[in-house]
Amino acid sequence: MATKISPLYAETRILLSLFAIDEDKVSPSNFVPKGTKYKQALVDLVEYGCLSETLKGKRYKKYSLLPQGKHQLLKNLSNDELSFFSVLGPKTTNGLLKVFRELDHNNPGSIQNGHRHAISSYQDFSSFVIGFCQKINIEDNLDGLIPIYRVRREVGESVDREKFDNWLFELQADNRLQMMGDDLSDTPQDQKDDSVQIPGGNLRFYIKLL
Amino acid sequence: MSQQASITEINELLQDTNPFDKGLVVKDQNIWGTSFPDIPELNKHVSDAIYASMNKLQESPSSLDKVSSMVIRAQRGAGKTHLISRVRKQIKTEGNAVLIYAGADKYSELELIASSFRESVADSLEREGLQGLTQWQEIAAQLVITALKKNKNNAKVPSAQALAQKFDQAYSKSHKNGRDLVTELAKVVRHLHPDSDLYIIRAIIWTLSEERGALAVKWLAGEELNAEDALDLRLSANDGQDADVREAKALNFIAKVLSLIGEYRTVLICFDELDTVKENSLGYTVFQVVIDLVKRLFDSIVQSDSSQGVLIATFLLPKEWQFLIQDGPDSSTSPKSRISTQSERLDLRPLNSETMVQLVSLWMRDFYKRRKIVFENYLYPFTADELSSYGKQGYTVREALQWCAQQLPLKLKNIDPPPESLTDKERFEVAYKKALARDLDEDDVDSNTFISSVLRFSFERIIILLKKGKLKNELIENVRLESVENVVPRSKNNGYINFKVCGQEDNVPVVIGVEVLQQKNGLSVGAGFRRLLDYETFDMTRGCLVRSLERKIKRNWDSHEYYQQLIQKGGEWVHLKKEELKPLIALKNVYDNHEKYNISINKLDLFAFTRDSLVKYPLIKEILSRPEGRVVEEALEGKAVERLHSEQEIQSIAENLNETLESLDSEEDTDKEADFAELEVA
Repeated sequence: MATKISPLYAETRILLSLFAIDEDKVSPSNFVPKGTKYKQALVDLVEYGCLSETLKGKRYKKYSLLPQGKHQLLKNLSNDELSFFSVLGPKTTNGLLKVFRELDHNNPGSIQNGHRHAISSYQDFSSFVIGFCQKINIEDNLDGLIPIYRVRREVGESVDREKFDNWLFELQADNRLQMMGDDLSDTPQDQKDDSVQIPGGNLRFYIKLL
Repeated sequence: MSQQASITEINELLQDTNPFDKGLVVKDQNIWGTSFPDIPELNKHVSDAIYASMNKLQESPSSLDKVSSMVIRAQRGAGKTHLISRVRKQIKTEGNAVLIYAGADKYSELELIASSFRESVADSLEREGLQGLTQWQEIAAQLVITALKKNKNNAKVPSAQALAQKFDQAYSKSHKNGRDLVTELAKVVRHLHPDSDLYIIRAIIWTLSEERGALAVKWLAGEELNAEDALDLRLSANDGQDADVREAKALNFIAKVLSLIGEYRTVLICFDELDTVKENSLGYTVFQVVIDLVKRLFDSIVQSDSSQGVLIATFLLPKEWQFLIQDGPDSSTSPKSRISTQSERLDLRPLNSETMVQLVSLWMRDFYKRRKIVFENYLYPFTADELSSYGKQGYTVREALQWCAQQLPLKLKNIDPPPESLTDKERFEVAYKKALARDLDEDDVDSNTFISSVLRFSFERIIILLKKGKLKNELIENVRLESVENVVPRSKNNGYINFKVCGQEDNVPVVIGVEVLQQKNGLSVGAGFRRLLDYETFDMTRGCLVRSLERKIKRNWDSHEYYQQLIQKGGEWVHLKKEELKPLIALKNVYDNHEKYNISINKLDLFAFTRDSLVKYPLIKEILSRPEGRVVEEALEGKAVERLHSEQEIQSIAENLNETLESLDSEEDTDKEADFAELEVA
């Protein structure tokens, strides 16, 4: 059966269990299943910046889930290739429950992939946003108008909402892009929520790169 | 006379009149007028793209590249009117193009969209072009001048203006000699442009005539002419009675007109206001109907290799464009490929720090200029820093003006509170006098909406006073007022009749339709009259036209006839006098700003002065009084159209109208020179 354990599968189970425990600095025996694939997955996850590793004494390592790990988990769960093939214990199922509740609580109606970009500065933000807009403009034939909600969801939680808005305004002031409104009478509320409200004014729904 | 204003005076002025209240809604008149302020930097990329496309059309050697279309995406309030008005001014100065503006919000009957567009074409071209001529006359002059040159190599051609001035004289001279100048000119033009329609050529040439030009424009707009009038001009009948037939022919007609105009001028057609909420009987929206029209129009325009080209610019909301590109594959027959032949999409930009400051400065400069006040700080009470940091957020023009309109009173609030020590009555008097002293600006006198809002306010106030039992004499001019009502069906009225005043006159119900009609162009005035005469549709017992006396009705307009009909139907023309309007405006101003002056509406209603100004007011009394039933000759000007031909002649023209055309088609291209001496420079 070991052949069915893909890296995706292994990483997801590790992330789920750690997420279910909801504590920092957890010993691997509490959340990493036995087997070489899982050991490798643990190393990889640390490398991807999903988990942080701290030494406890000289030999023992303990692990904490980082925001990036949570993004990765959500992304993995929405990956069609992931499926479970045996009965799993409460850690996995409780982890799933927790994911479900958090999503439902935070973001009704908008379970998305994404949330995986480490953006810490205006520089990062501008190159990411511009690159992403260029990409989906072509892929999805948007004819130059990129819905802001799609960008916000792609950027995910690595940039909080206020900062996201401010940085977009800054990009606009720098003539890198312009934001545009539209008639939004038929637009779903969650898309409007993830657009940009200009102070004292109306919603901006699109980005157009300049 | 200019006067340097003190800061106290400015504060007072701004407290009473918020310059930013105006301009939140821009209208047609802003496109055609010359006074609308423009920020050249704002959306320069779009106006430049329009000029570039027009140049390209002019320079292209092939008829295949002579028709082009572009989409300009814009959110509401983004400054479309600013942009179109700028392009219009540029076209007017350069004189090598004409503008046709088609605002779909005016199209009340979507089943007749092509006919409505035909009206837009005629109406737009009736607007002023170069040197005081209309755009129609400019084109007509071009046709005639070319004809003169073609006819005789060394012809001394007059200027366009001179041509218009001497046209009627020249025509009657030729007529006395048994010739028809227009026919002869049209023949030469027809030889130059063999595919063009002879009637269209004739009608365009006729627009040069002071006397008959209005009839020709009416014919070009697709309206039915009186049969003798049409024959006098040797024009075909317009199928006016049958709207469906007219509709079926309208697009083809427009295409022919555009082909001919295109030989002399680049035609820019702007389609705007497609997001109007209306549906036709099949449930298609304005947007869908207009897009279909643009597509059919694009397909029907034919231009020659030497033409100056036709550019169609369609303004759309982003989602409307999105809708078009999602609508099936990009085939060569899809609407999308016709509405935008250009690959790049243009979008209007929001304001930025600099343009925000410019907007406010321009707006205030204009405001002071109108009032002939010298005050150098155009940003006051705002500061440049504040405006540029606000402008950074990227507001639309309308949002920015709204913000200014909101902020201005807040900023002035602490500067000059109204004196507390005065009694209500004294405060009222101060406020009223101040409002009364204000000069009315030309835009206000031009604005039917503004004037009718003042009149409506007055009638509504009187009715409230009546209901409160505050009026001793309940009858004004024998009428007991009961209500003020909106005019329905709106789609038929198209905004012409402003409201209806209902009441009892000697115990008989009376419903007076009040229509302020300050327009100066014959087509609009005629359209306004037709609504006012339609007592049945709008359920009225009397039509009341409110219009300045000096805005005379020309005797050669159809409105001359309509005016007489109005009198016969028991209606009247109440002459609007600027000075008479002022007290009502002042009173309305005090009511509108009662919070600022700290007087309750109830108190205002109690003042004897209020009652007297409303009830004894000449304009109000005149609207309510029984009409005198006579046509006021001073309100008319010009000569009535006199028959060119006797009844017998008309008869024979009618019989031969088609024949003449046919013989012309078969006629050999003779080199015989016609004699146009009466048109040439002496």
